[in-house]
Amino acid sequence: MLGKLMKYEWRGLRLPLLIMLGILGGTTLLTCAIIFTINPKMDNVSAGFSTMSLVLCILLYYFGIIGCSVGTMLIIAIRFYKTTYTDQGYLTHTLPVTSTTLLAAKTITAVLCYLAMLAGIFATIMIILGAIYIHVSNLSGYDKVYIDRMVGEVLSEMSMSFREDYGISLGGFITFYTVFMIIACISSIMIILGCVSLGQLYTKHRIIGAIIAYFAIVSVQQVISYIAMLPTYSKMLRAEALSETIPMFEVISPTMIISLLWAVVVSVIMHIINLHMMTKRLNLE
Amino acid sequence: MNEQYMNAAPLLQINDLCKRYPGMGSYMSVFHMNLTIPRGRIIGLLGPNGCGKTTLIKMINGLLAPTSGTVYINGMFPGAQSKRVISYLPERTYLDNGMKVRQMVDYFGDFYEDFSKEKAYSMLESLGISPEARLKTLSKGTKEKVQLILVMSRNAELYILDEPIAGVDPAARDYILRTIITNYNPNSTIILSTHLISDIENVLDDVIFMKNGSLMLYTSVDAIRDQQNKSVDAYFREVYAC
Amino acid sequence: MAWELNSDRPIYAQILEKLQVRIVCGTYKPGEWLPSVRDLAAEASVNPNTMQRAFTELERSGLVITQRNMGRVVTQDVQLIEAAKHRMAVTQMNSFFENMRQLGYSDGEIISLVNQTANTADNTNT
Repeated sequence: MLGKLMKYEWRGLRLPLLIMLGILGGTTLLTCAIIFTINPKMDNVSAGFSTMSLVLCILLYYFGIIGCSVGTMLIIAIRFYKTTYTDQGYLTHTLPVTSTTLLAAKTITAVLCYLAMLAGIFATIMIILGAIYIHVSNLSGYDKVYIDRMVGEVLSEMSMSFREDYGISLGGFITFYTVFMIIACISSIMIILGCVSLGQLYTKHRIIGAIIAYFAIVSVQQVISYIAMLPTYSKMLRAEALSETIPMFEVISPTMIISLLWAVVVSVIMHIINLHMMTKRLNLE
Repeated sequence: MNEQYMNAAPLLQINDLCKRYPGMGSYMSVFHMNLTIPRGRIIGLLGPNGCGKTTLIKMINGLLAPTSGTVYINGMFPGAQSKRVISYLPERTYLDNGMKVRQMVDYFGDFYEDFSKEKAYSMLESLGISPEARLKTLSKGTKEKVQLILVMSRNAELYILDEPIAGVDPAARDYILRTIITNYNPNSTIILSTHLISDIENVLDDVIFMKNGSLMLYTSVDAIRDQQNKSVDAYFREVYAC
Repeated sequence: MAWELNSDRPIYAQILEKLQVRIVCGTYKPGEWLPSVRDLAAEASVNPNTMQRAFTELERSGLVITQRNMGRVVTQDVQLIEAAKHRMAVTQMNSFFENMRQLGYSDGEIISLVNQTANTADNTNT
C-alpha cells in the first residue's frame, strides 16, 4: 500500500515540478550559450553588451534556483493541505490504510521530490561551471591535456591544505556536509508539513494558521541557531586569546552537530504533530 | 452465507457515543448514542439539518475521533480494516479535479480490493459519462454521479451514503435508487442519510430518526405504516413539527 | 417506471396485491417463471426485503411455488388461481357495497344502478 500511495503522491506532484525544472534547464542553457559568446577579442561595445547579458542571465538563473526550491516547498505544502485537510481529505482518510502509512507515503515522496529538485539544481550549477571551464580552456589557447593536469594539481593541493586547515579530508567534509544538507532538507519538509497541520488548530482560517505556525517555528529555529553558534564563538575566542591554531572543522563541528540534532528533534516532533492532527484532531469541513 | 460471518460481531455497533467539537462549549453534536445495525438492511438515517447525522457518519468512517463512547465495525475500531469494508459517499466532492474519470476508476481499483472496474464502466456508460473526461470539466451534478458510481462499484459490507439524492435531478435520483436496489445483497447494509424522506421511503427497510444528536426512533418502515397508518414522511413531519 | 404505491399502508401488502392481480389476470401465466426478487424490486423501486416478504406471502397462499435454487413459478393449479380471483372480486364488491351504503343507497337501488351502468356501458361499446 505504501508503494501505491507514493505512486499517486508522485503523480500529483510531478507536473509542476517538471515544469519548474524545465524552466530552470532553459535558463541554464541560455546562461551557457551566453558564456560561450564572451570573447576577449570583441570590441568594447559588444563586450559590454555580452557582459551585461551574462549578468542578467545569471540573475535570472539565480531567481530560477530560488524559485525552484521555494516553489517545490510550496507545491508540496499545497498538495499536503489539499489532500489531507480539504474535501479531498474525505477520500484520503477513507482509504484502507493506516494513518502512519498515509503520512509516511506523503512525507517520503515529498522529501524525495525535494531532494531530486536540489539534485537537479546542483546539476545545473555543474553544467554552468563545466561550460565556463570548457570555454576558458578553449580561449586560453593552451593544450587541453596541460590545463587538465594543472587543474588536477591545484585541486590536490587544495585538498591537502584543506586537511591541514580544517582537520578533515575534503572528501570526508563533502560527505559530512552532504549528509548534513539531506537531514536539513528532510527537516525543512517536515516543518512545512507540520505547519500545515498546526494551521488546522486555527479553524477560522486554516491557511493563515499554517503561515503563522511557520513563522513561529522559523523564529525558534533562528534562536536555536544562535545558541548553536555559541560553542564556535567561544572556541574561536579562546584560540585567539591563546594564539593557538585549531583546525576549522573542530571549531564548527559542535555548531553543525547541534543544528543536526535540532533538525532531527524538530522532524520527530513535526511527525508526531502530523499524526496527531490526522487522527485525533482531524475535523474536515 | 459466508463462513466468516457466522459467528461475527454485528456489522456496526455504537455504544454510548458522544461528540463535542472543540470551541463549541458543552454542546454535544452527538449525545449518548447507542445503535446496533445488522447485515442485509437498507436503512434511512433521517433527521433535520444539524441533528448530528453527518457527525455520526464521520465517526463511523474514522474521520472524526469520538469525545467518548465507541464505534465497532465487525467488532473492530474504525481503522484500515474497517475502511476496507465500508464504502462511503460524503456530502462533499472529494475527487481530484486534475484527474480524468478513468484515472479515478484506476485509483479506486488500486486501493479497494472489492472494487469492480467493469461495474464502474458500465454504470458510467449508462449515465453517459465519458471515462476520458477530466473532472474539472464536469458539472457539480455529474461529479456527484461519478462519485456515487465509484462508491457503488465496490462490493462493500457497509455502504454509507450521506445525502446521495439531495442535489440530483429526478431521473438521476431514480437511477441512484435503482442502483441501490440492484446492488443489494444479504451480506451488506446500506445506510442512507437524507432529509428527503418521501423520495426514498419505499426503498427502506428501517428508519433511524435523530434529533439533537440523540437517537429518537429505530424501527421498520412497515411498523410505522402498520401502527401509525401513515407514511414515514407524514410521521416524520409530525414528530419534528415545530 | 416505479409502481404506484400509497403512502399510508405497508408497502409489502400493496405489492402483494399487485402481484396477485398480475397472476390472476394472466400477466404471469400458470407455470411461468417469475422475475427475480431483485429485478422486480428494481422495477417497482422498492426494497428487496419488502419484495421478498410479498413473495413469501404469495408462496404461503400457494399461488407461487419456489423451485429450489432456481427461482419461482406461478402455480399450475388453475382452480387455485380462480379462487384467488374470486376472493379479490368479493373483496372489491364488499368495499363497493360498503361505499354505496355510506352514500345512503339500499341494496336494491345499488343493484339496479349496477344494471343501468352495465347497460350504458354495453350501448357505448356497440
